[in-house]
Amino acid sequence: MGLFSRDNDAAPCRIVIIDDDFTCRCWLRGLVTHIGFSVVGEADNGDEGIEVVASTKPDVVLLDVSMPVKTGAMALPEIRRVHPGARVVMLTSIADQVTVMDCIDKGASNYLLKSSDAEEIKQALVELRDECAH
Amino acid sequence: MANSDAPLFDLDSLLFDIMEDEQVDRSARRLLTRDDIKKLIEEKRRLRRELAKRRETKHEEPTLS
Repeated sequence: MGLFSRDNDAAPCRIVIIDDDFTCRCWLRGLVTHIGFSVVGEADNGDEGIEVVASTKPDVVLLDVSMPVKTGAMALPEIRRVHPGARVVMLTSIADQVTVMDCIDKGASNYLLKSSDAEEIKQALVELRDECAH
Repeated sequence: MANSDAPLFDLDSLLFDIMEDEQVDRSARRLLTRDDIKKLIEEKRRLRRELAKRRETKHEEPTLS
């Protein structure tokens, strides 16, 4: 079995993608679907993202930080409140210490940088998918 | 006429102020690498596990009647 393939019998890990960048959402949708996630919702700002998470109750939320209406860092506590069982992973190009610490303190389970190597992002998502299966 | 011996400004203190301002700015906007972030997350996870363990132990402690 390859690194990015998964056991077909297991129920797919359900994921919501929240990012204001349409191209980024498309790329992420393709990537996570390829890895074995099931995309159950998408949103392009924090406010909408909270609603989508509340209605779909996913296993994982991929959350951008810099977004209009409500930033990812502002939406994070609300997302945790409406669905405490979700693992929230920040995926952003913002890497300043204050923002990173803020998101980790608010309960983000991981913090990935968009500037990272695509393989690195893929690997982190595969680990997340495997955690989900257990 | 101004006294030519008197300094117009204190260059040393001016440079010191600039250095201090820069330090504050750098610490406020310090950019982290992926490795820095990984370490922070690992540390946070360790603290969360410890906290959960402590809570569990507290629950298991027999109460004195």
